[in-house]
Amino acid sequence: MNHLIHFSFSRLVSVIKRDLVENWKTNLYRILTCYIIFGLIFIFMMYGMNHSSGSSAEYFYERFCGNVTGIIYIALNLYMCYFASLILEPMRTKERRISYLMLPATLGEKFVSRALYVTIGTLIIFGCGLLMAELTRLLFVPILGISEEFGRFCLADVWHRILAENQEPTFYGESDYSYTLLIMFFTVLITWSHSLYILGGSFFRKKAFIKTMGLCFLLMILFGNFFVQIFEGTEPELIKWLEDWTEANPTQAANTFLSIGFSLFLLLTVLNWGLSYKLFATSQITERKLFRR
Amino acid sequence: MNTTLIHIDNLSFGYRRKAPLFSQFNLDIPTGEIIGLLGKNGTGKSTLLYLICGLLRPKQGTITMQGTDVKKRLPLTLSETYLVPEEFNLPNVSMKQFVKLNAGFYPRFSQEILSACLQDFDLNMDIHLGELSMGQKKKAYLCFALATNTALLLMDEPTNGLDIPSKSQFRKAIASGMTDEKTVIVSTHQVKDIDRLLDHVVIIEGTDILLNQPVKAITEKLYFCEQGMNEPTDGALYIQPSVAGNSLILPNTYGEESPLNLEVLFNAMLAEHEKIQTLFNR
Repeated sequence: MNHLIHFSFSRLVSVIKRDLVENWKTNLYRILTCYIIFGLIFIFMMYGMNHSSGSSAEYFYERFCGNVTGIIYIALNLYMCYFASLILEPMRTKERRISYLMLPATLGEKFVSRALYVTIGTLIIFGCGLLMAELTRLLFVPILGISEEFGRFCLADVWHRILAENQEPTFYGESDYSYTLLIMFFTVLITWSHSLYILGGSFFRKKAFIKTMGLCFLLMILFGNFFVQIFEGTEPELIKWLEDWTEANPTQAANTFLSIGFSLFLLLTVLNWGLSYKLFATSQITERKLFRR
Repeated sequence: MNTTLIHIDNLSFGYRRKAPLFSQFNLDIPTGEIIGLLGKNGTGKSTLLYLICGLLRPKQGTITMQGTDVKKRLPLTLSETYLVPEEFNLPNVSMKQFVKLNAGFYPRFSQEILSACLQDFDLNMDIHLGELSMGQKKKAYLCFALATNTALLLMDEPTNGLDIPSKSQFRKAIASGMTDEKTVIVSTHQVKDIDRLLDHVVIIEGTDILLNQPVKAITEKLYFCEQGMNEPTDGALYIQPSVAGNSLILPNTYGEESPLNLEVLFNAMLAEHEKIQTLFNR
């Protein structure tokens, strides 16, 4: 009886399995899309760099890896945000809403299953597409007569590069801020921006990505304007005091700002996820309307 | 004595604030019966089904299934409820795979019922749901719904899209699958498809229940007959012109048995609601 009321792990697995198998074709197309896009980019970029002159093949390979790293960063962020906006994809049409809401699982199980699907699932899809693209690129190295330097497994080099970039820098003398706090701040900032799309995907049932992005831009402009107005009217003493304090205690000021930023964005992330769950839990089969008559 | 499966208490609901569909609506749905839910277009039959299974939330009042509020959408109530909507979504997988993925959610799922029902509808377990016509999809969906063996089966226009032989197969499948623990609510306009099947009739109109009676009580109180054009219709509660003459509803003064004519009853309840209701109140 208890398992029919509370969260059950085995039922969660069944919900995920159902979602995966019933949408296997969509998932396959997603992997293929990822593979084709990365494959084309990798091959054309490699071909272009191989035919550039002026430096050694090793130099161009290093540049190639640098570009791939940048592309992965941007693509992964976009990809994660896009799929976050699909968190409630099974609620898109009335028929699908009936099917999903009538599934005998708790609201928590259904939400967690979708959350895992659009986070870990998306990472797996992205990883598969990327790996296939890289293997295809390696196949094209002898076919296109590309320099042997490009025959190395680029993703491994990219991984080492990412690890190296995230290592704590060696400071000469005393560091200005806590590096761990900085990493934590940026991690939570990325998680927060991702959670905005989770929230958008929970609210908008159709074209959630575009709508969320549009709304974010709109809010950014409005808030930007709002803060400019506020600071214009602020007493110069307060800004002066802040400047003096930052100059007098640079380490403490940096760490304080990072801590405040980290806490604020962590709170906002939790709030976004909580609101998303609330939106799902209170959803009905009717279309969501901002204003009801 | 049937116990109550669904208890609707003081339900108020409307899609718009100013146009309530249900207001202070009360209804008890007993176990072990096939209930026909009838009403004109837009009276809220489908809405009532959605409210009963928790897909919509009442503005006021509660709907409970054996004491559990259905709006919580707990597996406790969902695993005992199956809804066959008028329009539905089936995934692009084989029937075997669909069963494998979904049967586990229903503790009393019966593979035997599924196989027998599919056979009745000239289908089998090897079908692929993505390759079926709309009518075949509906048959497959109905078979799965019956096989779940849930305590409550809700059907919204289940015979829409079914061919003529399938309609009788549908009646057969429902009747053969009935037990004292199961309740089926059928909302439809195709009354001729289900009138021999029902145990109980609920007719709703606006925010009121026009009729909520077992078929046995209806045929005990009312006598349904067909008469020629020139035959006398004295004492009839309701007269409906038909191709051969008139369809009549008379008070069943002599306790004679007559088959329920759901279409005439429905029209009579809309036209002569109070006259017929007084018979049941006696």
